[in-house]
Amino acid sequence: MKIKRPEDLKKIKREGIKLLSPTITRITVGTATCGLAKGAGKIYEALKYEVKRQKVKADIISVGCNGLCYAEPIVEVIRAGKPRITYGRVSVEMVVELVKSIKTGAIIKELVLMRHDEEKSALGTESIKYTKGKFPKSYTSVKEYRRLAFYRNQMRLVSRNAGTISPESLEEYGALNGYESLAKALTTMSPEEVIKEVSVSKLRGRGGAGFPTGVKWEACRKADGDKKYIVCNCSEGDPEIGMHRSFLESDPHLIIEGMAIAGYAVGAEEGYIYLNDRYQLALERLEGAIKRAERMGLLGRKIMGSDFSFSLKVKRGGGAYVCGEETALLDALEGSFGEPRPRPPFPAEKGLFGEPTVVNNLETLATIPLIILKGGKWFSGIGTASSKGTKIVALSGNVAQTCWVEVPLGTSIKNIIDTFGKGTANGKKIKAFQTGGPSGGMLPAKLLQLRLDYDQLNKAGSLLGSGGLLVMDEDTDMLDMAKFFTDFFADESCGKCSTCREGTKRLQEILASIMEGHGTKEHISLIKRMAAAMKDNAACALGKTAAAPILSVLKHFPKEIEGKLLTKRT
Amino acid sequence: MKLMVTLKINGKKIKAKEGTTILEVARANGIEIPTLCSNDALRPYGACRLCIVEIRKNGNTFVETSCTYPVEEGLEVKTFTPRIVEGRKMVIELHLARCPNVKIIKHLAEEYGITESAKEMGKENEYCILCGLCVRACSEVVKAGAIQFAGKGANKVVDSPFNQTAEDCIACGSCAFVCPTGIIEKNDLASTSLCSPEGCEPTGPQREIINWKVEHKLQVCKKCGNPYAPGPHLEKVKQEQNLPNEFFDICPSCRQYPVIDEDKCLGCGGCMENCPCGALELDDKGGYDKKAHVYTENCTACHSCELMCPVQAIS
Repeated sequence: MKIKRPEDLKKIKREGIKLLSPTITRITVGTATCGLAKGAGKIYEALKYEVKRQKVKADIISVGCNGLCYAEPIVEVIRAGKPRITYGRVSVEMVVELVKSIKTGAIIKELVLMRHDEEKSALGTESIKYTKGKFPKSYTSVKEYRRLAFYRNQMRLVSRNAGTISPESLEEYGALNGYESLAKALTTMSPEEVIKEVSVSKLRGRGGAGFPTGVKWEACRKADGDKKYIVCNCSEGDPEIGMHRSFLESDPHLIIEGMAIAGYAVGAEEGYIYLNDRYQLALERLEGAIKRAERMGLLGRKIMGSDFSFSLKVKRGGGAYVCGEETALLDALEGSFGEPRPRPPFPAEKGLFGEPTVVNNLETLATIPLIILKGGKWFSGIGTASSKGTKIVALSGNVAQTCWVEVPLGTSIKNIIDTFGKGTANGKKIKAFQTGGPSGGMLPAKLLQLRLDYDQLNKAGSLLGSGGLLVMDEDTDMLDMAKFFTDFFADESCGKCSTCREGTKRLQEILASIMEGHGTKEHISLIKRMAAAMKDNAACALGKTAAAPILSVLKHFPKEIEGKLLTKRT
Repeated sequence: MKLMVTLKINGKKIKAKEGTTILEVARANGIEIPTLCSNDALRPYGACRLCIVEIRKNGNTFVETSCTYPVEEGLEVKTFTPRIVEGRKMVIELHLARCPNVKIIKHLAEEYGITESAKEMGKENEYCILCGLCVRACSEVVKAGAIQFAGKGANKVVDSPFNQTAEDCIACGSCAFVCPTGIIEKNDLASTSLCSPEGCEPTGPQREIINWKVEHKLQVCKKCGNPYAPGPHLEKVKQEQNLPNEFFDICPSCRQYPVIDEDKCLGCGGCMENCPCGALELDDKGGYDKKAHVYTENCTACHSCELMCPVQAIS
């Protein structure tokens, strides 16, 4: 079937709803990389086998990740007309019992996490009801998901579909208002109106710098060029974050829709997704989704009968950290070395192949459909004065529950670590935390009250960045951490500008000699001098922030370093 | 027509063409800014970070490299503030730690009053400062693209592909010419021998560039017998300019340029119209009298004018 008019989406939606609240049992397995690492692949196979053996009529579907990474592998069961039950930490041995329970209608109490009675659509006006008829008694003992602290404190807007729908099904995406934003933009709005809506929403780039998306788009729309491009930045070279991967493995159509809307707004007919090559499964699912969208006529020529044409290509990048910098990314897209370009000219004026280009982070683009659907004003009502909307945060390091969550901006970091991470895994006190990946500073526990806010974190010497949150307990050697991140920068520097290339190398050596016990006060003053020069002179954000980890340790944990200095020469 | 913009450099109001860089404008106005990686023939690169200046724009002050920053209306640029000097000193110190024995770096250090990089810094003894001039000259000007950067970060080097013989190298020597440190070794050898178990055979004059593991025969002038340029280089020029095969048989110093016998010349302009390189023009000699004139700097000595002249006035 091809979608020739916006009205055709309704058919897709009807089919999708049938799939999501099925007449035969639907079993979903979370097979994003996090799940697969914990053995979801085996469970998927075992379920298939067991269902046949026990002669249970059921569809087994692989879905993405719902954020409960600590509870993987996750299996969800929807029996016809009954609430959706989520099981966590499922082992292969439990599969026999699980399938048996489907037959009997019982619930496995040891594994159950929560139940969903309905699925809210993106607009929140309608919902897909799972429960039809009488509510079964045995299900009352299971907590509804909204009553769990994990969900109650979240605001799932961008990640609303993750873990629920199959990434391989366009219909299921369509069931929850999928592609309706694109239809709305194409039929009822002019490109200028789309940009205005994004400007009104006060959405800021989710990649790190927090540049207003509306301003970027407008600059690109106004720039002269034969052709324009939309580029989605999924480079994600940070060592501890896998958010983009998880996202693409769970809900690839949302990115496609966001990019198509962005293309319509700025006047681009071609889009590129720059994907980290380590994300093999994400690549597979994304390419599958693009093919499906093309077949349905949601990408390609004259989308939904309008004059707008848009095509998408996936480009695989080597995963260098510097290629997350937008101009280096463009270089890599063009097939040369990923080295930051001098600015100005900005990519919005002269970007990919010398044409005006918008480079947006994946999360930014994924937010767009919602803004179009519900309005920029609604979106700007969420968050703080300078930071609007929600942010996906990936919790890692020493936390009891490793997970990713979506919270409104302005949520305090302490709140995130306590509610979702449940403190440290070994029960020790938190000593420090780091936001925004390697470029962010390491902040002490007394600053845990800081809120997720671009400006507040900047002021504290860190950044919101791509949304990583690394927790360190009291046993952590901060100098060790600083060395780790300095090594990371020395390794990931592209080596073009002298300050960054030579600076990171020398910092590495200085830190090593302090760790070996040869450090003196002169070492510290040299670090400070070098850090100041790097912040001023380096060509790109990588070089400018390469000294941030060691500077933050010097500022917040001075005793850790002073204790290692030579007091007198022997 | 390009628009003119007005900016201030060190308090002095300067008018400049839109599209030029701060470095160009500053130098044209006699303001000195040190550079290592900039060359007028190449696109700005911004690698050495020595040409940093303080820019004030819309109330914000920031540091940027003047070689990459285009002039804008109302910019206030300062080229020699304490912040800039500190920054440059650190850049020089970092270079000095890497290449303590490179002359150009030593000179710069002297200028900024640095005798040695901080002793807490590690030291190396490299000669390449990774300014990228050779790489850029090779790809942007020569358009051979024979050498490239390899590795990243601290391991970055300039190298031939896969550290093997650079097959696209035409041995023109531009890389050695632009290199500010002199680390690129280009040698012209009178003759070497190619030895095999059967015996040795002289190869004739050769040029080698040791860094890229390249050896190419030098073209020998048929007239004076001196070697003058590597074969592949001449071949490339020949193809690009569509020159006749025997064009490079004679070296430039032995080449004969057309001589015009003004007594015979009719001033018809036939030679001028047929000259492939625009080296001939008609000079006014008063009244209606016009005579052909040769501009030897453009002439390739192709002899087409000689063939075209109806009265054999060109020899």
